[in-house]
Amino acid sequence: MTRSFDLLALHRDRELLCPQDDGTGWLTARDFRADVGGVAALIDAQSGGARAKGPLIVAATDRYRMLVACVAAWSRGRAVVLPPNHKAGTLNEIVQETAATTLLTDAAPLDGVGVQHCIDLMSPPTGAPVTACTVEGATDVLVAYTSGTTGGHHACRKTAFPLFGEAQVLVETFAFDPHRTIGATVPAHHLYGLLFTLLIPLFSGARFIRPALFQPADVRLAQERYEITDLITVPTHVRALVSAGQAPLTLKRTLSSGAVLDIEVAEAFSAQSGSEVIDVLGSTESGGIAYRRATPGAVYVPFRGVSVAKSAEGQLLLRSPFLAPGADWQLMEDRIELVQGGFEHLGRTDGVLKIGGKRVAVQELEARARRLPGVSDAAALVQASSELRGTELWLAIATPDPRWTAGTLKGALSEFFDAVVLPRRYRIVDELPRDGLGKVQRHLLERLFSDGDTQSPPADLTLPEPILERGEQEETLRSEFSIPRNWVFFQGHFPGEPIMPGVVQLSHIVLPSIKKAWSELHALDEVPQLKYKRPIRPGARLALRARRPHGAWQVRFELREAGEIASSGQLKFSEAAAKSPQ
Amino acid sequence: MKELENELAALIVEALALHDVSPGDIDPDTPLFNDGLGLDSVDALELAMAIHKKYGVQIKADDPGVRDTFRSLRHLAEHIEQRRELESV
Repeated sequence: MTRSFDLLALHRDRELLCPQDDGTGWLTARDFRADVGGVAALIDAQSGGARAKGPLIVAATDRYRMLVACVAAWSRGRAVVLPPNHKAGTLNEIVQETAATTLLTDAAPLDGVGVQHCIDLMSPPTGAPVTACTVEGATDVLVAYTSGTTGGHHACRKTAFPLFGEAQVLVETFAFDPHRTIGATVPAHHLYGLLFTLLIPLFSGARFIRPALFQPADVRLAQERYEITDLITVPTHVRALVSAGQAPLTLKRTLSSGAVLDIEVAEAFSAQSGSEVIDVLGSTESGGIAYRRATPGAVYVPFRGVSVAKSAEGQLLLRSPFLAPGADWQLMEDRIELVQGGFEHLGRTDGVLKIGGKRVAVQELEARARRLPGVSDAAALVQASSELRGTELWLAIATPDPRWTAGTLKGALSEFFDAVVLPRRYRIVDELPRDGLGKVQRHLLERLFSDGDTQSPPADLTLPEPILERGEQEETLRSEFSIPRNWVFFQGHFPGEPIMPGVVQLSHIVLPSIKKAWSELHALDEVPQLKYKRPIRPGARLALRARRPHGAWQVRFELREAGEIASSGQLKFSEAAAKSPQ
Repeated sequence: MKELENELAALIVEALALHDVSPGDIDPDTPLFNDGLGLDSVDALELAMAIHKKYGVQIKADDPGVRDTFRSLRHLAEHIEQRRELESV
């Protein structure tokens, strides 16, 4: 591909771009080119003036500063790395992975990030305005990250042709022009946000609103103030706007992507806002694939240049200029049916499971749970299970409604699903840990389940009657029991990392068991030996063994989990205390 | 019998990996399946296997009385007790 892209063709003079920092007036193309020049000068200074090649990490939360940083980097022939979040751990990993030496940021100094140079985007010097920025199609321009719903974040590299080419196709498809003003509930550091909230303005002259409008009320306010015509959003946020009754009025168009938009929700949103709602199908790896009006019966129409076909297994086959140039047909994880003018989306293949011989679509389960009265959100987690079952589902829902418990949820869902595929564990929370794109990262969802059941009251441990064996020289006590997940002693010890306190192992397990077997051993006198070898976590199945030589006031014990010693020791009891009347 | 019930409660929690249930939570008279403890058909199979392994008592899924056997913890304990007595005769 030899095509090149002029990134500043449209923005030469007084065209309005986005609101100023204080929101009083508008920044123009002239301001933009001066700011790009300033940041470009800083990049030149960091790289010693030479035409260095390495990528630059841009960790900016403000949309305008991010666009300035990206165009400045591209004007210097550098690729931009957009981290999925701005945490030090993530940034350090990205520094390692990309060998980037420079970080451009609008945040306060990022502590603990090991990068050679840091460029502050908050106050760039006044540089000579950049007048031209032409990028060849084959130039590496972007490393973006997937949202991590199926595991970690994956890096995805793009050259100029698929990235800027797609932006131009989007401008043409949706007829963006300088009369449009774009507001967004999503940040710009994922591919979807970058394309729709920064690159579309760059290639169409449309204006954009800078902050991500996370709260429904923010959307309403921004809409009233700036007369947003197009809202860029995701299904979760559409749902939140509808249920908050905050769908912005007089909006012209709403574009949703990231997951398939529920038609009922889209229609409710349309009815509230008067906005046309468009559902865009795409991914970080593939770029945009197709779009449809979110109305009953509407089919997905592929974007210009994109070809679709159906595989023998019913999956979407994609050939797209937004994939790597020259890439051949690619098999996607979407199940489709080809119809006149496009295709119908039947769901994701990776979201359909077979449990105990029965099929279940994870998306359908989540959608059903969200439609339960009072439930605002739901997300399912696919977990490996026993050999017989293979896979099981866990479900987390967000609701303030006290009627919902694991039991009532299971009951309500059993009206729609076979008992075998119903989730086996439930968490009821105030809010699900969704990121800026409205997605739930797997590890955060898992954490909800590993923290113990914070909703149900703390449980007590009921110790079973120990079994006593009488040997020639000693008596042996055996007992087996499970530790409740929500045992009171895990609370605060430690947040997110529950471990049974050592003293509790003695006071609430070992000593009471010994007392149950040998009632005279109730007054602990001395602990000559005590070793803690392995942490005991919620739900652990433990085996206690204690040995007492006949008539002795000393006992040796071992507490094991799965055969491994968790703790062991020697205990001396008071003979005098036992014999004195209590 | 109480002891066997306790043992079985622990076995159910362990064999079926019921993360959010502790053996003490299982009421001896609550139904194990459907609206009670909410166990399903795969659980029934797994529980039958675990009982066979631990007590040598076979519970066949196609046994007409199987629904009654699994009706509650108490019924299950009674069933195992009876079978063990029969076999030890």
